[in-house]
Amino acid sequence: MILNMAGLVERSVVNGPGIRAVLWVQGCPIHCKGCFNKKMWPYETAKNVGVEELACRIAGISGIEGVTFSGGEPFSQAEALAELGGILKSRGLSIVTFTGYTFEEIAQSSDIGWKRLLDVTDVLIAGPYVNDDVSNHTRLSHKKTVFLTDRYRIVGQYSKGYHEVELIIDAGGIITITGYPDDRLIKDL
Amino acid sequence: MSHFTMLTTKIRDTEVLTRSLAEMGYGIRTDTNIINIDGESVPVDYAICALQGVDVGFKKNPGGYYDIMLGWLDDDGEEAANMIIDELTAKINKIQQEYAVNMVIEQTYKQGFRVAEKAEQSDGSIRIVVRRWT
Repeated sequence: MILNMAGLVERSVVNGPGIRAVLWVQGCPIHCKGCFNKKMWPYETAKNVGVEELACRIAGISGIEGVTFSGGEPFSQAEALAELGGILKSRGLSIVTFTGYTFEEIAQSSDIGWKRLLDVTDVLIAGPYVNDDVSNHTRLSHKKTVFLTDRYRIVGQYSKGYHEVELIIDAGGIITITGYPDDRLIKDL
Repeated sequence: MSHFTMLTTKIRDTEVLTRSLAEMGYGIRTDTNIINIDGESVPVDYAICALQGVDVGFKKNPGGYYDIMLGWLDDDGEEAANMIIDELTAKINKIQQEYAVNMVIEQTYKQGFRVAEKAEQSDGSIRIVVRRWT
């Protein structure tokens, strides 16, 4: 099975509990106002990669406790992500999945792929992104965190009271930015 | 969704550039000339001696960004020149990384973020996590 991947960061600490690989998928039908990943809206090929190849790569990253699916819209590639998530869970990794759909929309859907992705997800961060606060402080407050397994239910990682930005600067000065930066920061760098 | 952007560093902030060079231990010459790889003397805004006898110059272009210029390499044969170029490339990459790190810390600080974590990773990259309380 093939997955259309928009990006992969091997180690991140701002995309869910602990140190996690983060996978962004290409293509989103929701088009939230103020979305900061608009380049990931079109359903065009970014990078096609086999699920088993990707699973091998992610499982080989040392020191991570899980993987986070983001995008784009992960549920647009639910079958492939469900398969990937299943392989990684069998290796002991946890799965966090972002989605622009509400939990109710997903839970009530009869789509088999959606159900399969939900079945391998430990924590679902659900709901459209709403950028209605110029100070950027409440951007995530419209997202609903749903603990689908007991793995993180007690930890409650998403009620920290602060938000974080992670910047990884490679040996040539290329900066990878993830988390929740202000738009201005991207322009100023 | 969580943000994802990749940016290539362009050097434009003079203060951050000179501070980065100084922190890396380079002596900085200002408003000076370097002998470029064609053997011509050319004016630059800043120059450092990156390797023994080899200058690297920084000259602001009309777009407001600094171009990085390699200095003259002695003609010690192709193999020696390639080794020097590899070494220079690594040093220039390191300068760009140091500049990017300082720029990231400065710009995020201005927006109310504080550094929560800064660590060099095994692949040579530097991870910075900044946090702002809501």
